[in-house]
Amino acid sequence: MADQTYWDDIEEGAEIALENEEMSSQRLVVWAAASGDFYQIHYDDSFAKNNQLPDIIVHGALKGMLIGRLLDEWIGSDGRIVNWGVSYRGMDPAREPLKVWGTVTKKYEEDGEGLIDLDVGVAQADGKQTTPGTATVALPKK
Amino acid sequence: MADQQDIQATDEEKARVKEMQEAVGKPGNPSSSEVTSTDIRLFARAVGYTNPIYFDEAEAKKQGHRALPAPPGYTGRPVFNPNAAGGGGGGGRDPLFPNGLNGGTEVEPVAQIYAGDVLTSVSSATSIELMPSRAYKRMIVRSTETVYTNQDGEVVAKTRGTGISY
Repeated sequence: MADQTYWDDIEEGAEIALENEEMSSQRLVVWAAASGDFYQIHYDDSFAKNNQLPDIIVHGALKGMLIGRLLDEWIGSDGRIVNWGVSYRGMDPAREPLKVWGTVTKKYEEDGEGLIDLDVGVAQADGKQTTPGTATVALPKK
Repeated sequence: MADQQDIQATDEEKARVKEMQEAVGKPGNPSSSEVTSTDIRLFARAVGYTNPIYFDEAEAKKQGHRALPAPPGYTGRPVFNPNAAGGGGGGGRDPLFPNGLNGGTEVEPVAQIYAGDVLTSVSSATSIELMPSRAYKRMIVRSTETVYTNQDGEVVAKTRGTGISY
């Protein structure tokens, strides 16, 4: 797994990302089973098209949890996610890769703990942002 | 607050929303969720984790966990019972606003959730608004907060969500 990330080493403006997350129909079915969200617009082509959608679409909650993974993998075993939140502002068609990203916006201390604020989001291949949000994590100090 | 004059909703729909708004701030009925190692692995697989602590119990214990830990954001699977009121998961949609969209999610992990935990969640609506919609003429925007506690009464997570019904 990734090495431990330390608060001391982080600078505002630093970027993290999960590149090219494939959103196959199979993955959406696995997510449907994992989450219990069986709304057909996520796996039934005919149902999606009959609901004026161009294709089946990625579950919003899956995108939200991809942000959680981005943070979890970045902070390492000694870090802590304080919170994160996203808004689902646009639909992402399935079968198109997504980029899950974060940018450090603030580095500060609170009660002796090293905290980092980030802007986070999910972007389509052409750069269109569909899932903007923010996050705060605590990182260990050296 | 949207101008009520702009909202193309029927009197029946407006009455239904008013009825919903009376529940704002009042905790709903507790709901139970199970956290199993199988479901943790399925969730981790769907989200794309490869960290062995989410798949391999021996590795998780080697790293100081008492069982498979749940990845952040995972709050178990609601106990489904088709004979219980509401079915205990996958609940029904309001016939006046049958379609839904997920508007947003906030997650506040408070304590580690583990396989074997049984979580109790209590949700309450924090706001419910009838809004105009270009696409659907009118829609309900509903914000909720849910608090999850484990079998020891410890708060393990809080989530906030926004749902759109039309």
